[in-house]
Amino acid sequence: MGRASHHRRQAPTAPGIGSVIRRPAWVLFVLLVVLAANIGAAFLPVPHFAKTAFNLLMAAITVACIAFIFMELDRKSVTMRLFAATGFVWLAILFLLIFSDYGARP
Amino acid sequence: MSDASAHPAEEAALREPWESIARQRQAVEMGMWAFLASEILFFGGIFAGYTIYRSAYPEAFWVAGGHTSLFYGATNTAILLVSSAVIALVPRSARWLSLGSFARMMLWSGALLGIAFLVLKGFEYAEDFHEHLFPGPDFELHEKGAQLFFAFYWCLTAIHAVHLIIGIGLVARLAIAGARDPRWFSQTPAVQATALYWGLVDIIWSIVFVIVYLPGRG
Repeated sequence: MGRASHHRRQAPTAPGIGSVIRRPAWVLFVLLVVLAANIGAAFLPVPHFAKTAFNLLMAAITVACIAFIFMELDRKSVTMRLFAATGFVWLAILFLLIFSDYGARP
Repeated sequence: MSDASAHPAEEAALREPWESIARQRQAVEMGMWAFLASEILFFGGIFAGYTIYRSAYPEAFWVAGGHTSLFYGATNTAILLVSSAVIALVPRSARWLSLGSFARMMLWSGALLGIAFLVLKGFEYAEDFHEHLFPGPDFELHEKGAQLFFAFYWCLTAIHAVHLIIGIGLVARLAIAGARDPRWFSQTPAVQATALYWGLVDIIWSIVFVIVYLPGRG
């Protein structure tokens, strides 16, 4: 059982709205800064490859923040996290196969 | 009704074949993540196609990317991020009866932000049609491979929009059902499932934004 559902029985008193909002609000702020950085970086006079790599890194940070904080994976059991990871793992295998050909072409 | 009387609320949310709400919640969350994994692979196939064709036509994809509307793309990304934060508040608050109306207000706010996204997307599509950016005989760009980029653009953004429309429907349904039965709303795993679905729709868009709107700038 996840910690969240355990918590449900332990805390009959509702928290204040402020404490509910605080963490997601901070993460939203970070994500908007990441978005601004990503857009700014797209206009820099650097090689396309470097821009694309940076843009994808920022996308990965965004995805991780959404999955772990907004979707609460940070509070879930290991089993649930493994379950959530499967899609991403299969996707990684797919891209490993693609780059083993297209990434290795001269 | 005080928040401490959790049992009647759990009974209102409990469904066959589960014996406890905790088991039901765990099963629903796991099932949802399994569904989301299939969604990731569904979009993953399109991302894979994009990657292969981009490596085949790097310059055409770069030039074509510069013809998408960064204004609409960036604004919609920000809207969706805000909506995700708003929907993330729902499972964090819905479990307490005293915060139920706040949680339902957040659901409606998320739905409205989703509608705002779709309205902007409509304006963007209209502009794209006006600029002949739909693949076909009148296509504006002449680089070999540019039509392919826009085939991915239309495909990815349209399929994402369909997902968002479904998300808006699920969120609205939950808000309406929750207002009718606040005790059910405080315990039902539908809250977690709906929030997870919304999160995935935002995850997909975060990747679409980077590969569709950011190439070809500067």
